[in-house]
Amino acid sequence: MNRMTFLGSTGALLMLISGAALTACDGGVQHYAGPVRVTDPVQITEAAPQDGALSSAASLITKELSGDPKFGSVALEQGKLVIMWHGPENDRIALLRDQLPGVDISIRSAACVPGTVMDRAGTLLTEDARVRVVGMANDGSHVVVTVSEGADSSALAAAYEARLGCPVRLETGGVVPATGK
Amino acid sequence: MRWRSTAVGVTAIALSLGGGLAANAADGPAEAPPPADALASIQPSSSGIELLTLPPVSEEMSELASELSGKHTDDPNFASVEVTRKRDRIIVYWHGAPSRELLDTIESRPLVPIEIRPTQLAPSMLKGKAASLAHKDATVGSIGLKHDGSGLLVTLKESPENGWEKAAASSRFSTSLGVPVEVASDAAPVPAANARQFDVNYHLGGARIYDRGSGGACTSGFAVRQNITSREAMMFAAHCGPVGSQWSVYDGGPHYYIWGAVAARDTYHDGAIIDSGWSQPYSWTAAWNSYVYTPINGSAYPYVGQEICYSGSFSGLKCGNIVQQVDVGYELGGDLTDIKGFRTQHSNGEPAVGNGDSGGPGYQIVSSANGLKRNAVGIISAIPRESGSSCQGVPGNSAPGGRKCSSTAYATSVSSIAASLGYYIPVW
Repeated sequence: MNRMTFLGSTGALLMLISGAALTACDGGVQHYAGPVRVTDPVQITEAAPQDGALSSAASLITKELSGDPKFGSVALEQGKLVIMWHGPENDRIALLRDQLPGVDISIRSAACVPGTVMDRAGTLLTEDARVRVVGMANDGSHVVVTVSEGADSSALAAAYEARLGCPVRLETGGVVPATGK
Repeated sequence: MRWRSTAVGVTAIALSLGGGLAANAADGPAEAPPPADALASIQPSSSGIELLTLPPVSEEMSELASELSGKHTDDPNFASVEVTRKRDRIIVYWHGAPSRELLDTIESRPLVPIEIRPTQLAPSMLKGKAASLAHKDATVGSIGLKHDGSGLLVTLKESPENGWEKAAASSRFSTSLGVPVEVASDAAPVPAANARQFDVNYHLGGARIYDRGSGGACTSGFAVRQNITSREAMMFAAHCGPVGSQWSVYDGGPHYYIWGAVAARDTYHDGAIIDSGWSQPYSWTAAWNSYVYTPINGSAYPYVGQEICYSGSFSGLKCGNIVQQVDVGYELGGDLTDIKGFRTQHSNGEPAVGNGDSGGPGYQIVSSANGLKRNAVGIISAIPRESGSSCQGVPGNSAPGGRKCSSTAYATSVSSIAASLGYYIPVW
């Protein structure tokens, strides 16, 4: 407290703009029109770059297979791409292999049907207030359901399994928006 | 002005004269957006100290000033925070006895010299007077508190032609309101220099933005273009605000500038578009309070094993976030009952994302034949409910409602949002 002193006041200003002024001049903010010098003294530490070809391939596969209920996800694992997929490979995957020569693509067989299960999980999320997060395990073997309470209830897990048509692992938790003040 | 935008950013008091945050009234037609090559790509640079016109502010002082401003803006006794030009102390302008919360904030940084200066008048009373004048007098162009709480400062829509006219207007307003009113001689000043916290002119991803209505803060995500009209806009998070909510940036003092209103939302991917009129394919990067930006060279879908660099305006740049799971469903309340996103985990368990980073960019860095590329991948959406107060950038706060951060983040696909709403990601 001895760092604080109470003095008289002087000062500059803090200004507000009226709504009328805003309406009249909205959009009149000056645009930037000149070179900029990079001035930040902080040494920027970004990530080591990922392989551009593999990344592009992963992105393309995701784009092309999204919406197919048999498709779960693409994973980059030790320099190759692994597609989580339910059932036998189809023509779309064969086509992607042709489009991406030189890219090592393998299939990880999903026990559950990812798209179907996640559609049902979305409905569960909307209808059951306890359910906060749902996500399929990357091997397609089960769904992780995060609930606000009751994660230790085997009856609840069984009920969700029956509804989703896929084994369920319950966790406790939830998410909140990352907004600020 | 460069200095001003870093240090005076602590004097924010947002008053609402027609709603929440106020906006500037720069006159004249808007110029065309700058050509892309007007902006330099990111380069690790020299210290930059030579560009300052005043001594640099210590990091701890800057953080405390920012924290004071952020925490107490809504307190009726709080006027402003100032860092002295000598950089030897922070001055808090406060009416009456300091609150326990204010003292707690100050005592959390025992090494930073602080002075509390009492204001002559109650800031809440001045804000009320300012609002009433703005609503009933059509000649007023802008009005605000003097930062020391000694009265109001007004600019007129038409600048006074001489000193007599200024004095007459000042007298008229002072008599009408019963508080000292000074009439400034010119219109609102030119915006301060640009930075992540004060992105008045550039309109980049990773900038601190505020909801004009509620004052809530989010971060801009990625520049986008409308598929048919190519109109320039900005992508961020749907949970930040409804369609029609207006988003602004702070210029470091004293104004807020409107970027634009939310024109479209994709609640399935927690994505939204601010109709900003212009935006540029760059993202603010490095620290939360940096001046550094980097080009965005493309876009990509999320996949398991991908490394994401988040660049929220509260946390700053944090790479090392590995995608653990895609197609994750979660809910954030309201109309966001079934969001599809992806989950990342920082490889060293360090806090990567926190409150205030919502809407911000998540990009990946890839190698290509033409060098490194940064691809837009995600929009920062959520953090676990149980997140702690250990944060990078703007400090966390363990109190309820305080800023929380996490090494786990939930983000949504930029490509999916763009496809859903009819926009594309321009590339540098």
